[in-house]
Amino acid sequence: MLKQNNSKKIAKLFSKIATIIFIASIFFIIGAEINDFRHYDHFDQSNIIEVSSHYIIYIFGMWFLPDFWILRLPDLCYSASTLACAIYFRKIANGQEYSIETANCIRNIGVSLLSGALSDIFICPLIATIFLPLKSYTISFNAENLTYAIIGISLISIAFYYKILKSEVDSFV
Amino acid sequence: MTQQKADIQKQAMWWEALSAMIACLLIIYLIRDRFDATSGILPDMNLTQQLSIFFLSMLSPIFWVSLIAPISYVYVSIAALSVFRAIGKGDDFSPTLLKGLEKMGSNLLFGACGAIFLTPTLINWLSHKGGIKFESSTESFIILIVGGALYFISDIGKKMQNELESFV
Repeated sequence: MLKQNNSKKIAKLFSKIATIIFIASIFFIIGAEINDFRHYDHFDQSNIIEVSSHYIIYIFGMWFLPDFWILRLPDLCYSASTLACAIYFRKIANGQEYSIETANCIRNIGVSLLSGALSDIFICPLIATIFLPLKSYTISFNAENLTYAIIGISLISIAFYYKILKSEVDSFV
Repeated sequence: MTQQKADIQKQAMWWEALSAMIACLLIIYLIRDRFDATSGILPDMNLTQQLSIFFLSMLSPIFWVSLIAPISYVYVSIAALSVFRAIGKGDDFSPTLLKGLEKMGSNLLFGACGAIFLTPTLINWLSHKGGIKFESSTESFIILIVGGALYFISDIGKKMQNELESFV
């Protein structure tokens, strides 16, 4: 078992790392089209103002397409899980280890991971079939999203048990 | 609350079966990926030749080094089995459940570290290049953070269990 002070320090560190990863992942999701834009060579590359203005219009234009966001739904859910993790670690660092809010945080991590995995497996291929010119609907599961799904389910059930144990402890007190 | 607990115990049986299925699927994927990586080296190979190249690749240490992260993830789903079994039995934060959670957390942490740092560095060393190499991806970092969260949950569970026992 970790000592009280050590666990708080580690939780604080993890909270910071999780926040950084959350911000980085959001940048990755939003700027996912940067590499595609680099291949466009019909702009005058020496004119920085022209290139940057076209670049901004291109990125904002992509944001208004529905499939841009729908196909990034799993990544957004996984990013939400890192945010939930950051909140959870902050609560531990603040000494709220046994609160109901902590259990809710655990549930939120689980729900976001499970929804990310389910959208990766079922929803994204379905939306891709509707919006993009694909003929058949295929369920796309792989090692990563299956692992995420299992972790999500276990976290949701653990959050539930956490609440039960908390109520038992409270009844003794 | 007791009704909800009974419901979740019933569901845990299905989840246990699901995680067993996923563990098997992960092992099959692992073998298929390794086989795919070696079978396409030369064109127009028959199955015997593909299999012999696959078994020959096992002699290379790089084959085993690249298995660090996937095997850790397989262990995670096996540990999830024990967690769901404990929930199905109705043991609130029993040592089995907490051990399962701890195993899940530590394997996720180890797997993420393997994917980010260990495997690329060891492959570099085995290719006589030297140095330290990082291969960062968002997924690996998310797994690292979730692994840390699971490890903390098991730790807090232990503390809560101790507190509960001290009352009893």
